Amino acid sequence: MIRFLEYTAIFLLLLILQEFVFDNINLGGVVNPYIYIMFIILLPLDTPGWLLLMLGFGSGAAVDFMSGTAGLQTIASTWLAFVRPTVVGLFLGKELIYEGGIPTAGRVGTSRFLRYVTALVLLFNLPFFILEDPSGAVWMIALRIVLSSIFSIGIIYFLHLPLVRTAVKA
Amino acid sequence: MLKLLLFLKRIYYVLLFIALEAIAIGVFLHSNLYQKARIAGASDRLVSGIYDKLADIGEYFSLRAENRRLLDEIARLRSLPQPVTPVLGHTAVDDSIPVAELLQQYRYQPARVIRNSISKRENYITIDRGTVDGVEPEMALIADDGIVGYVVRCSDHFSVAVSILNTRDFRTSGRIQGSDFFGSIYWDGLNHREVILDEIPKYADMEVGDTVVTTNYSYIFPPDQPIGTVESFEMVNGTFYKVRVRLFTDLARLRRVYAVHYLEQEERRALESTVGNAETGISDQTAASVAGSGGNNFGISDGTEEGGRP
Repeated sequence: MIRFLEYTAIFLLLLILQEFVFDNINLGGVVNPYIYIMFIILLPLDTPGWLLLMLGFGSGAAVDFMSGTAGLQTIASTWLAFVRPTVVGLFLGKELIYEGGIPTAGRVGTSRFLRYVTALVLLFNLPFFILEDPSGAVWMIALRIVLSSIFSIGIIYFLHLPLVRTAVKA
Repeated sequence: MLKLLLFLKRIYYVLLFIALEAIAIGVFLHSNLYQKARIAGASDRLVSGIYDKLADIGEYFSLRAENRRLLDEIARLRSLPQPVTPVLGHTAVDDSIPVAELLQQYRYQPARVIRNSISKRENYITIDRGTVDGVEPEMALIADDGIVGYVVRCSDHFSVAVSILNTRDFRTSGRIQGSDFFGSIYWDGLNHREVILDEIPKYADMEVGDTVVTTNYSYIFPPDQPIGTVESFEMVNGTFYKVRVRLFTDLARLRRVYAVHYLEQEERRALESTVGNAETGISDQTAASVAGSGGNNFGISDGTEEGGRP
């Protein structure tokens, strides 16, 4: 129950940060970091599949609702939740899934953690930026994906640091 | 047996994914401008309220610049030629109607931008004026130095407008100042300081640095409002020019705008809709037709404009 409340609080905090801070980052109109996906990235590794998918869908829908983007975030975030177990298996190792707990840099090692986050951020940003502007110039879409991803990975890393300590206990 | 169970487990995961994704894609494909504006508006009470407070705080830090801007604007207005007051007896108008009302075509009211994005492809602007303040859908948003968008949806105290930086829903017409050549203005999503002025006839005469202004074909924007300057242009297919226009307004630093009500919008729309090929109004879902860049009724609009003004 306490864990549920904790996660709800983290989720609401990320939504607020996304809406009032990260949505207002402009940097020449190219960088567009979506940080709320950190919620999906950091869910406990033993989260059942159906819950993971529902949470992916729900978090995307919430951001869609706040920013008026109608479905776009939800498409990408549901996809992100869908591929997460595979990415965890590939980058963090299967044994961790049975152990459960939050994947953090403190637990899996910084470089492994960064590779895991990079993979998921790219898997989210690729469909998102392509669908956002299907008729746009290819170089522009690529630039947006690359710069936004670099930004997102950095922010997610720093934002997750406070969790490192608590995660060891979990 | 175990394999079958594992298989089913795998399958239910994929099936659930497909079902959820289908819902999301369905919403995505079937959303139009008004639904999106409604979604943006539905979170108004909460989100816009907070943005309003944030804007309150932010204002304290820009008071000096704001004063400067106001003085500049006053100086500009004072240096305009003074309007001639018409003498009542000399016109054949009914005395009971105040002359000012007959002459006024556009009503400006100030508003503050409380939320604005430039980094998405479909950008919107939220202002802190709503139906209570007389703001309605299809009013233009104009900054000191150029057009920035038009209102699509209002709640009591806030309004959501399509930004000029909206690749899908913003279209209007623009022309090179000092000539009669016009084309359509839209954003190609590449640079938040530049829009495209497309389909300028190939025999148009223009130079880099020429000013681009709005036309009087629009139901929304007042004529001759500045948009930007010609940055570069290229010939497309040997038939027309595609012009890159550098915006006068820096949308990234938009604070103050005017919501502009075209007082004769309804009358003009009603008249033009009686003619076969005219734009048919709000019920037309496409924003392109609302913004008034449809190419086929320009002649008619011109007629109304001249006929209506003695």
